[in-house]
Amino acid sequence: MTSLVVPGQPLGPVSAYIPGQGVHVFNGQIIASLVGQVVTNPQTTTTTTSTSTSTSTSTPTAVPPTISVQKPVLTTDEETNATLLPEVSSTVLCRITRINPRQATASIFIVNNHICGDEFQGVIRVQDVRLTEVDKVKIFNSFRPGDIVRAKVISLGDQSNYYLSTASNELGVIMADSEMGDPMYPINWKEMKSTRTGVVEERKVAKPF
Amino acid sequence: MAAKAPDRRRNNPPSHGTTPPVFLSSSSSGAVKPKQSSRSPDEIRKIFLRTGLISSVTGSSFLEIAPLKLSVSVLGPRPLPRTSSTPFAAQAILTTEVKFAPFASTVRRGYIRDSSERDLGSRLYQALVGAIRRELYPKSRIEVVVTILDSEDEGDDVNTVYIEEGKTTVETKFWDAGRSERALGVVLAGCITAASAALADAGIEMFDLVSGGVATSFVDEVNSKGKDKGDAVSNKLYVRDPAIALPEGKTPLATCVLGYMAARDEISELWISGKVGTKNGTTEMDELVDEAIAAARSARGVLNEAAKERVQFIVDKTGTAVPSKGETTDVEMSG
Repeated sequence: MTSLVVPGQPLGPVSAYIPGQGVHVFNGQIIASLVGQVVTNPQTTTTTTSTSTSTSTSTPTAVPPTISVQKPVLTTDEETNATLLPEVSSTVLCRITRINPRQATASIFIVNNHICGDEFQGVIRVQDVRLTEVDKVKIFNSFRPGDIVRAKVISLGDQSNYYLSTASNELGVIMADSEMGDPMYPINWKEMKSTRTGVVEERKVAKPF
Repeated sequence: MAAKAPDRRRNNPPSHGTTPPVFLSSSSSGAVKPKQSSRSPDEIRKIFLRTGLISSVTGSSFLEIAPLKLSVSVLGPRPLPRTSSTPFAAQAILTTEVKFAPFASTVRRGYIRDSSERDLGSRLYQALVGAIRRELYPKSRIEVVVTILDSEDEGDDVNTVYIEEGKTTVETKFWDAGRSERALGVVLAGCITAASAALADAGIEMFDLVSGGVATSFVDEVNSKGKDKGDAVSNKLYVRDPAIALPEGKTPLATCVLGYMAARDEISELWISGKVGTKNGTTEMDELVDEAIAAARSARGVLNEAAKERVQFIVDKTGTAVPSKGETTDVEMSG
């Protein structure tokens, strides 16, 4: 049985651990900032941070373990998403709410595969729709209201909008209905076809997995 | 009675309730003073504190200290309202709201927030804002909503109104000058402690938990009557977590309420009202503050246990062991 910690409780000196999630550093001490269980991950070959993998494998003994505090949850879906916020480079799913020639406005409802408690508003500007031939992009031929889009957060944006980008093969429309209201399936990277009428409509389509 | 705009949206009961008026021949002598409890002055009342009672909000808590009952809801971090005039906020915006339920005191309150509720709200904001790691939640707001369901007697000047027989006008009689400060102080300290528990329950990262503490200094009644303080500083009585009832033969001097972060030894909010001597050195105020800190430290013990209680319940229920949890996150991150 592990003991629980509360915010403000010291966990150890900074020399002994690398601070992870749910902790902060104060006066050379690592302090818990959440109520939860203390988790220490020894930094061996499998590191939690992907960038430091090469460095840690070269000197596995010198790296101290990562210490973090986790708040356990009853179910996996619940509660974890309560304090979930989009960050730069998070992958989000959003629903297009309105479009104009300069940008498409979207409502973000999934951040990094977690459903968020409140929907966040984001915009996909015309220059962020695709990687190439940026000046030929037309929002009207890329998104329509109601489309479900996979996008990446490129900036926290201004007071109300997160700035999103679909400038990648994996990003773009993943679900869309035709003008008649029938579901469509992708036929290439820029077109989708209605399942019922066979009408082809233009979209910035995400590459299926 | 604070001036307020008429509330047209609800079917309002009479603002003063429907209890029959109590007629008193004279204010101070005839006023029924509540009985003094038997605890020692350096002992705080027993606190009942539990978290996670409201499922529809991110975090919640319920606190009970003898007659005081209050519940706290924490919402967010949630996106800023679209209409908000605030520009880009790099840190989370905290909003606090304290509301007495209409039935919380013996004199019925309105649904619209009055001045004392707004005052408590801003003091609660001050106590909490420094403890939250707001930089982790950009472009969002965290709302703390406190509902006071029952308070110790009255918490406002309006509540020390006595209607005298034969008089048509209502006069305010301050037969206990520090009464509303003590009552509001206990409420504020309870709000701070409960709000910290609710924030911890919400999983919002904090530098430290903030606990509230109250202390009141009393002097002998005879000394205060003479108005020649200064030489009568010797027999001062400090009471932690003071009840509304006065100690026998004492009269209140000053009340101190503070929000205290015990692990960092920092005071986040300080509110002193009453008469505190500053001439003969500063010990008088320091002593009062030290007493309030001691009260806050006692409350912190309860706060720590209450914050852990719900998490412990989840751990027991799910049987989550730390190693397995650590491994699952590793998989998630590498995948």
